[in-house]
Amino acid sequence: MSSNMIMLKSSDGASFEIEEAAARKSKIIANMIEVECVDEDKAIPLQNVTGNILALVIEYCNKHIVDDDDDVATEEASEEEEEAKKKKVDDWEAEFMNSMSLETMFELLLAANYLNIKSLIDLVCQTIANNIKDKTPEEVRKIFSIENDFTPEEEEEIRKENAWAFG
Amino acid sequence: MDEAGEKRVCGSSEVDWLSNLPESLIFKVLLKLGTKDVVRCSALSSRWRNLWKYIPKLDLEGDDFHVPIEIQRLADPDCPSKYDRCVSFVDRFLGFNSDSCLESFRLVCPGDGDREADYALIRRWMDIVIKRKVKHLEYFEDSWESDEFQIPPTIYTCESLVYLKLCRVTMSTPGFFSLPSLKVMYLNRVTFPDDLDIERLISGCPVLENLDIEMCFFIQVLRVCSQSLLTFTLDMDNDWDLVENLLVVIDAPRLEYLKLNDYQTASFIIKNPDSLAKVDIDVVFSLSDERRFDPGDLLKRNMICNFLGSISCVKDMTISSTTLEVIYDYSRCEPLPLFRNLSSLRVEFTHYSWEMLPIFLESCPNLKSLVLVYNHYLKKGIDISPGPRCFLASLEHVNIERAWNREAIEMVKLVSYFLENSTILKKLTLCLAEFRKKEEYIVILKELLTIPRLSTSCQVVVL
Repeated sequence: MSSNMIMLKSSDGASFEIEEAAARKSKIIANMIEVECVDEDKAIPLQNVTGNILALVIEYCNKHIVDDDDDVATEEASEEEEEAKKKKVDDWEAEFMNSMSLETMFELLLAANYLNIKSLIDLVCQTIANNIKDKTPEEVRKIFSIENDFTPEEEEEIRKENAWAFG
Repeated sequence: MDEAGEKRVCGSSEVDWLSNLPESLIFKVLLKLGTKDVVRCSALSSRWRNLWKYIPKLDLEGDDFHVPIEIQRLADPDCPSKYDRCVSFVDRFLGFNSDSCLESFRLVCPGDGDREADYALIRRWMDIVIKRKVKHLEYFEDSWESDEFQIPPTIYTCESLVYLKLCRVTMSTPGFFSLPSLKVMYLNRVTFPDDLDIERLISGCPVLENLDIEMCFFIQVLRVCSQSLLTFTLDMDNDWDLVENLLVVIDAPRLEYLKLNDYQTASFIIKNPDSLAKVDIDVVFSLSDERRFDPGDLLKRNMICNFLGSISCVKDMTISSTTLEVIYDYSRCEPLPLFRNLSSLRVEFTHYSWEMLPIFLESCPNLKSLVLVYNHYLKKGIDISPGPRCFLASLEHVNIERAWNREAIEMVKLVSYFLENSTILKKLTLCLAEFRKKEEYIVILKELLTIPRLSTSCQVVVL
């Protein structure tokens, strides 16, 4: 194993090899590396993340490690090239989020939160927000299977309180 | 997310994952939404009933308070207008959790027809959000008539403020400026009692990185002095009456990007331009067709000389044909500086004629890529008699976008100039969409084939 590779172990026992630079996207793992908690031969156990979710997290980190490195090297790049690159990342992220089920998306959010990967938390939260934006409460309930536990009178009262928002 | 994505999400799960998220994550989701969407979530279920009151962000515009006329009376009989509903809500919202910090406050204040908005109230709101350590503050006055709203002076010493965007307001005269966290400031149609006030405001922001000033009015001088500034945009309405002898002084040693779109200012002085890498220039130094550059005006000659010298190190430049005309006039009595680092140039044409371009290109010994863009409406421009042409030894790519130039012959001449003089040109792209249905299109195409090409590997692409 090369010196800048790290092993991660999921809660269901699957092992993943990942570049240190990619793993550092996680603040938690970065901190562990800083204080030299990482034994080169041993995998870091991640109790709260299953293998299929960890694979997605690693896919995301690998994709974004390249982009961060580019920040330093892009001095020569023209505006169009930078725009094209940004669009490529945006397209990848849209496709990445589109490819998973609702359940996986929430598991990914919890994993990102546990591993403290800010940009991934932002990406998932934005995707969820896009599914709330400009929608009626009925539509949002349907999308996320939210049970309406109000009585019709209570709901009427709530809508009246800020009637402008429901117009 | 696209439609397919939404459909996929619909009903694919029976578990309510969203409501079961930890509160901190629900807040993160809600912080990405405007206030209207957040408030609407109160009707989802009892879990969501009061969450909106704890979101430390207010993001509202007048149209959010638009209610269809048929439900208006029913909805809120006490608040008959958009303005009333807005005031009533914001006032209530700011009353919740009044001790906690507020991340963001963005308000486009709705105009109210005949009645003047209650500026004392809005000032009080601003004082409240500043006291609540707001980081991101945006305020737009919606009514075109009024620039009477005075920003309270507490804003000038707001320690938490990182992002400030103000539109159509008047700054009050402050005693002291200190905005230790402010990184981005955007001022549009903002009135300052005195030129000195904006200078002191900028100097009072020790970490300011991006400054954008649009259509603000200055009397004599705008001085931008900052040790931290990275980008600066000055965008003035060029249809305004000229202010004689307006002076702009920029002293920002870390400045990397500068955009000047300003026909009023007579003199620009840029000190310490060492970091400048990219500029976007559309200026005329208050010259005009009626008042052309006068070689006898030594002060102006000297100022233009220094100005060109200060932008001569950039790598990337956008420039208007109007500015190139002024530079052309100037070049007839003074040599232009060499733009040694310039590798990418974009010229935005508002004129038919392009004859002022070659003399500028001859000062760019390392230019690789050139883009020419034509404006929708083209003026005649000044008369220039073509001089001898030098070789363009470094040019690799020329892209003539949006060739609106209706003078087909001029277009052919322009293309000939590049093909006949560029030694290593790889590709010339010409967009002729405007000519497509005319006979001229065929004429241009035929002509293009007959032009000799100096560079043997040159490819000509017509779009």
